[in-house]
Amino acid sequence: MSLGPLGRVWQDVAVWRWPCLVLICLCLGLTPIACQGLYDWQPRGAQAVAERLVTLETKGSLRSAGKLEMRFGGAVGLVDPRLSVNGVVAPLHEEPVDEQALDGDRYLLAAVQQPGDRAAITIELHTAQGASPVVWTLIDRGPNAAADEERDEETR
Amino acid sequence: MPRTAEESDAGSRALSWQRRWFDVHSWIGLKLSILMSFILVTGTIAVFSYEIDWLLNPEMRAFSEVDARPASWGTLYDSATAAYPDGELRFLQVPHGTWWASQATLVDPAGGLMRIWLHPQTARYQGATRWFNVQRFLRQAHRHLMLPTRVGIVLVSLLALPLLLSLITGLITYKRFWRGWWKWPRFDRAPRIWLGDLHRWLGLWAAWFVLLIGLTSVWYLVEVSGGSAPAFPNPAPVATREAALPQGFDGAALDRAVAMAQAQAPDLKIMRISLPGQPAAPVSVFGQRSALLVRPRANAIHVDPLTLTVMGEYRGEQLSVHQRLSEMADPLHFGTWGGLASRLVRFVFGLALSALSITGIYIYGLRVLKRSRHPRWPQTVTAR
Repeated sequence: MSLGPLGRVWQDVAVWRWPCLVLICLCLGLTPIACQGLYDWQPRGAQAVAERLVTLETKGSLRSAGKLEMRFGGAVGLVDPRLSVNGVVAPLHEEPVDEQALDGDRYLLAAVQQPGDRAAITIELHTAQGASPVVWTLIDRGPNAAADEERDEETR
Repeated sequence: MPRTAEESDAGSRALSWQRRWFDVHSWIGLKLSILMSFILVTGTIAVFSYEIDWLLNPEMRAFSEVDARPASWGTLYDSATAAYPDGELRFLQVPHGTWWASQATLVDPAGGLMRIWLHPQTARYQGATRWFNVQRFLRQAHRHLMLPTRVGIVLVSLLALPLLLSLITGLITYKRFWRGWWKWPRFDRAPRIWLGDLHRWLGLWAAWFVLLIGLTSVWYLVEVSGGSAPAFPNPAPVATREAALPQGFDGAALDRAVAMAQAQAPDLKIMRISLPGQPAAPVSVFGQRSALLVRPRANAIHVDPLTLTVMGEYRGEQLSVHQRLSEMADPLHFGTWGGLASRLVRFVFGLALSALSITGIYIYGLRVLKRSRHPRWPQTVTAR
């Protein structure tokens, strides 16, 4: 079979074409994730189907000095949620938690962290049987986050 | 006069070196061609990515009204907060161009970033678009292939090294290249000839641009490898307050804060206002002053939103060489330093650079195809 010029190039780039194509496909494949705002590879978003006890765990590092915030979304049927930062239990609520009370609420996880500090955050959510999936998100809200976002604003 | 044996030896040695440089040039251009072309093409289109979004989203368009003055920052603030009372307003910025709406960026109750579009003169709310748009797609695809930035930026900016090497080897292998600037490609000849002419001609005209893109990309590699510039000077601590913004903070208060900043720096052309996301942060006013080749964030005035006093200021000229280099990289790489004119130049040369990569691949294909069809061709020519 005779090949055209591009066919010959394709043949000659043999082992190089696959890593390059994988990278490009990864890039295009990750676009829908970026589109949903689950991007920037900070420790965001985890999902679990709740049974009697759900334990979500993550490790993250702050991009800049500041506070780490957690937001619950879609949490239904939660009872006695507990959370710990670097092994120290942090109360989520001072008052008893009602079912669905966490939906959309925000909580401070760690007061002040230094850039690069790592926080191992564990959240235990005791849920009512048959409860809906729990989605949680970590948001970095350092004073330099504004500058980061501004830098992100630029076209490159 | 016939050449001596010594001259002939020196000639063939030079030819052999040139041949080796040429092999390096083709090898780089060929093996990395797929990825390189993708990066070059996305980077070129990204120059006008804002405009593509402008065409796609009517909310982003705004046409000036006769004799109308620009709305104050406070009016824009009030309009944005009235449209999204539950949102956390983070930025306000001047329109991108004459026919553009002003943009406010806010964090919605679900934690996502949104763009709010407001008429720059009436401050009327025109609509909202999501944070992720064509500009974000092109930026993220070009800058780090949508991968984690630690990995993606390294991978992409590493391509600067073969790019620069291609430039050097290309110039070395092009004999008396300085004569080639005015050598119009011979489009009436066979594809391999005219494509080769075009490749060399574009390469010569775009050499400065290849150097610029290569060097700024190397700088990004330095930054991601730990050589990023130190942070800007911090403002003095602001008065204690409980929330990100003081109770009752509104557009009028923002106007007073902006007036304080403007009184402190009358020459500051305000481009962007950053609103505090937490109680310890000030309202920051950014823009352009006299420093050349810096982003708006290189000139800042910080104002305490509670006491409305200036808590800190810095300007481009006060930044260290390291910070200035860091500030300079983006305007040069994006071509934004001279407005629309420089972006047009950036786009045209971006096209030329993309064409260099693509024509290079095609020429290689034609050459190997010819060699495979006429395996003894070089010897036949020599025999003649």
